[in-house]
Amino acid sequence: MNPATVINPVSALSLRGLTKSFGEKQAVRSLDLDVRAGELYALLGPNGAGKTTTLRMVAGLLKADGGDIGIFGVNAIADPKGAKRITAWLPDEPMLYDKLTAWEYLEFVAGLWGVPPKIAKARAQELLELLDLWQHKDERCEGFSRGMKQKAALAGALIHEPKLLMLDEPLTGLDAAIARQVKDLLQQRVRDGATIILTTHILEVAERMAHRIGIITDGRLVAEGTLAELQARAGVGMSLEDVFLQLTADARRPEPAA
Amino acid sequence: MTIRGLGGFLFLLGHEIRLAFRGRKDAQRGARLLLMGFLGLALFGIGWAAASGLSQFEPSLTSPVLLATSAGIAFVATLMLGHALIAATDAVYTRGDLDLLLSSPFSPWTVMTVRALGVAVQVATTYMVMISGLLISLAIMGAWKWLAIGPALIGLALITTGGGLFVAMALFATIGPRATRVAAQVIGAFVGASIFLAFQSQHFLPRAEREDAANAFIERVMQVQMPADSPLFLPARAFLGDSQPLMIWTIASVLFFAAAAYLFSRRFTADAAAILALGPKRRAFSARTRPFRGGVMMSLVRKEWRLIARDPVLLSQILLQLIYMIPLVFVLYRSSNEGGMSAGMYGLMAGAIAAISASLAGSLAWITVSAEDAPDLVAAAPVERRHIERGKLFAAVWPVTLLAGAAALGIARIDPIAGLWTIAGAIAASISNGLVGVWHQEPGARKDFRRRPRASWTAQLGQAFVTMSWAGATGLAAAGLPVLAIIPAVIALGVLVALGESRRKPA
Repeated sequence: MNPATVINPVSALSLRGLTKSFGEKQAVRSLDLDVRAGELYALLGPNGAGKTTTLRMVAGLLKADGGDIGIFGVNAIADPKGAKRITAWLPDEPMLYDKLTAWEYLEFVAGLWGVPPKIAKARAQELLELLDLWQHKDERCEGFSRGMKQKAALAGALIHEPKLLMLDEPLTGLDAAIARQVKDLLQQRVRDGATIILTTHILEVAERMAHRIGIITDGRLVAEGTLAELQARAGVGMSLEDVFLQLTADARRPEPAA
Repeated sequence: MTIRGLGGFLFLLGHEIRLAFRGRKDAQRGARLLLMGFLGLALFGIGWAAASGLSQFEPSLTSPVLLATSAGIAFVATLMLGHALIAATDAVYTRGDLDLLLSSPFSPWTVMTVRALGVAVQVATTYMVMISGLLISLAIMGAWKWLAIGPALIGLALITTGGGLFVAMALFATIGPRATRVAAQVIGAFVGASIFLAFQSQHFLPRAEREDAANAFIERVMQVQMPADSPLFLPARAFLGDSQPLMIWTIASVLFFAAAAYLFSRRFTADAAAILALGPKRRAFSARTRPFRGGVMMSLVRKEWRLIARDPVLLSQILLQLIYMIPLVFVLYRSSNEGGMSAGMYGLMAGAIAAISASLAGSLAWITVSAEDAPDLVAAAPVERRHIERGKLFAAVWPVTLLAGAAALGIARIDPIAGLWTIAGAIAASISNGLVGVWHQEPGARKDFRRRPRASWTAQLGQAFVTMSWAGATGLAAAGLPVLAIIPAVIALGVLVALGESRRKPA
């Protein structure tokens, strides 16, 4: 790693002035954000707020128009390969190959991330067992239910043991049992020292799992803090849903003319 | 249910036809319009030339003319039948909207009837567009009687579509829904190419015998004493504008198609449920685990080959491109027996092998690059984009190189130098075509494999140009003219550089 590319080594993720536009639409506006190492950070916001665009830029899937991205001190814009090595990205639609078996899928992902075959094999077995997919390891993914696909994709995301895991709506469409399995696994990873950022529309997930919550609207971070801090800001006795609705409505209200 | 308006029969038919002909309308609209304009002009030019000849005389209804016309109709019918069979299975399997339509207030019978009609319209329109220049020219020249070709061709489209539906039903009943799709693709392609292959099969014979066989065939045809009013000549008479046969032909084709569509819709209402319920084959669990194999490049290549090999529909569509290699095998077989070929023949063979290799590599590159199922996964990996592209290109080109190598070996047995030029040209053409695909193809889904040319006109035109140039260069070199071959090779490289410079940049 080139030392010159190191920025803010204390943060797991550090965004400074991150900007992205699609034509006329400004999806992310000079976003500053810090996620601490070892925390589970929930990024909330209405549809089209810029959450997924932000995470896609961090994952190296979109080029930022401006700003800096630091991941555990690695400048992801100057050294995307170095950043990708320690991150994993799990979109809302699982990225799988229908004609590969779960085992072959994990072999492929491990190969892409350069995990030594012996280590990858042991991790694949552990993850599949943990996620109750071991019995299905030789089945092609085309026959999997939505929940099984999401779990297989999650196993793929974890096979190289990323330091920063980004998940976009990881629990959407999952039944209660599978959602619990996924939540347990994520919390275990955090206990083991990983950092997780997730976007979700299920506010209960953020409320129960996240150490800190960020609320993003129109490409800007409008509020950030623990649940208690956000509640204190919005008004005592409010649920996260009330807080979320109030803060996003406040942010969208046009400023009064001087 | 009404016939017109929202929720009506015609509304559903309009929807079917729109889907059948829908292409991309985005950034490449200008290039698309330009190409369509060029094709329109070409069709009109060819049509005008043909009409100028035809309008000079009235259609003659003598036995030899009727026989020749019947042969032409048979040729077109095989092409149409192949097209109809593939379109019929596509309409049932790949559209993926049966769940929606069958859960709508339309009766299942209506849905399937409209689908059958949509196939007929698709087949008829394709061929009517091809002869549109001729028909317009004939109308301008006032040669009204020849205009019967139009309705007669529509009748032929209805009959062949009906035939295609019957074949699809027979396959479904005998081999089941899973195998029908692949079988229909293969049969459709072979039927479409059958006349071409039949004509080429003469190359199996030694030269002297071949000439004898051709003369004997012509003699036998000339001796046919079938009366001009034989019912077997009815289609030919209809095409030549004889009013009564034309009327009978039109009515018969409508009735035949109606019967096929009726049976298709009744049977497939039940069969559709089988298709919708078609799940993947399950494999038994085994506690044993196969060891992982590493390496970024090999992981990519293994993944691509596994995905292609496990998709029988895709695989059959790719391999069917090899049908047109069969005549080359005929020629090689004969030439090795006769002890050699003319220089021109070497050129032709080598050029054809290079062109087919390029086309095959272009198809495979589309699958490996454009039809990537998990682009975000690959893009999020700590591997540089050019390495990913290199791996995918290798996965596309290597199988083609093996096939082209086998064909080149056949040539090398007779002339080693020509064989070397052939394999070199085939590799250059394959890599170039693959690269154009990597640079300019639009992302797509594997099920849209046959629609891929519509996705990017730049890639389509670029690949056509590069293929022709490399085929020319390979042909000239193999024919013993390597200095002349430099010209098309430089053109191919020039086009490649230009296309490389204008490649799409990541978002």
